[in-house]
Amino acid sequence: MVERRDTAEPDLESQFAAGDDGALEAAYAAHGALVYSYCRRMLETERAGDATQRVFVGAWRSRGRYRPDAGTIAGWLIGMARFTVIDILRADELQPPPDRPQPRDSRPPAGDATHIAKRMLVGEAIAALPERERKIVQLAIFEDLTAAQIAARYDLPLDTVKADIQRALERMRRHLEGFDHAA
Amino acid sequence: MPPEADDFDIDPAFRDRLARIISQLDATDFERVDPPDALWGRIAAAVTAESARAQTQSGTVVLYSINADDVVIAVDEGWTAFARDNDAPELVELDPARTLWSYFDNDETRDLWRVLIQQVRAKQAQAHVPLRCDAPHMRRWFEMTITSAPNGAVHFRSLLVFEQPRPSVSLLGRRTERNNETPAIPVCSWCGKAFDGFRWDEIEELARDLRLLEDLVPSITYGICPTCRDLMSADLLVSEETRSSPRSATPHR
Repeated sequence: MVERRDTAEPDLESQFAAGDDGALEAAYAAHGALVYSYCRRMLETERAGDATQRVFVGAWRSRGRYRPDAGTIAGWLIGMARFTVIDILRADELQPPPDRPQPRDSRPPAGDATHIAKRMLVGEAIAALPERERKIVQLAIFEDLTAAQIAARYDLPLDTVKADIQRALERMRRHLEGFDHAA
Repeated sequence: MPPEADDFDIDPAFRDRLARIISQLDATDFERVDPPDALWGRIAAAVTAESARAQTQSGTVVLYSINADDVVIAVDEGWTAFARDNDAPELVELDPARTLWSYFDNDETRDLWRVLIQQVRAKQAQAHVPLRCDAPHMRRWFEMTITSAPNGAVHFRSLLVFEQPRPSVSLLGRRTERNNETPAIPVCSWCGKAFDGFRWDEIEELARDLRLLEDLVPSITYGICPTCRDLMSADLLVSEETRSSPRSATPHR
């Protein structure tokens, strides 16, 4: 198994775009779980692996089209995963496989593929934050606290709280831009 | 969320978009499942196969030459791609002081190649050598054509004739952490089999057995198995005695 590891994203993104040795493996190590989790959510287990493989092989084949300045590689990969999943689900609708009689009704409908992809991407951006920033952003997002309220609650300088939230917003923005870039 | 707009430098359209996404977030959006262990191997094999197919379609996979002093003097893009694909970046930039023989780590194999190239030079002829040159995720069979050229130069042209994906064999990985306290495993450059101290067997079989016993895999050294050596030697002798041009042995597969 590829070892999961923290990766300096800007380096990884430029290396991936340049087709450098090891960049695909590093991208898989950094984002394989995200892509696979998304595919698992939308597809049966066996097909989730196949879909994940298609995403990474297709991403590597298309690496010349990836532009790091246009968004994160995580967003780009999930953008590609979204199309892969939609293709598979559409093919099912056109030709239901005879050896898979059970309905897919425990899975989200194909129409949710894009919404779920974007939500998981935003979730990824939040989960990847350092602990303090994550806590601050969660308070802002899920408890609707203002920056001033968070600063008061944790006795932090207001500018620090604002900077943390700004960084998180920036990360989410770049994730979603990468997602759009995969179109 | 997001917090008051005037707190942050944020595009209003993005703010609205993000707000819509965030309003629908639930716990499952944060759940992650690790991919199966074998998945990366499948991806790497598929990418390698694509790369090799693209190279095969263009004809030559690897092309290089040596001069009269046996120094590697020219390589094509196939060499570079192949070196990278096999995780051997040190081969991308060739050292002009290194002879072909310095790339061999096995005396017997080196000697066989010396004889073969001597014959090619002496007879101004061509030889064809089948080779195995596997990547961790891929079995690969090559056909090498060795051709003499003016001024003592020799050209080597290797064509990928067949490849077959397989689960990754860490024993062949150049970045694999090695246990250098155990003897190196010999691997035959002709048939790809490996020697476990008792018998020559497919490297996957040997790797599977080793994995049960070792945390770290041993080093490997490329050589020639007795069967391939006998075939190669016999063919070289026949070539020397009866043929006008050498054609190296066709080792067993």
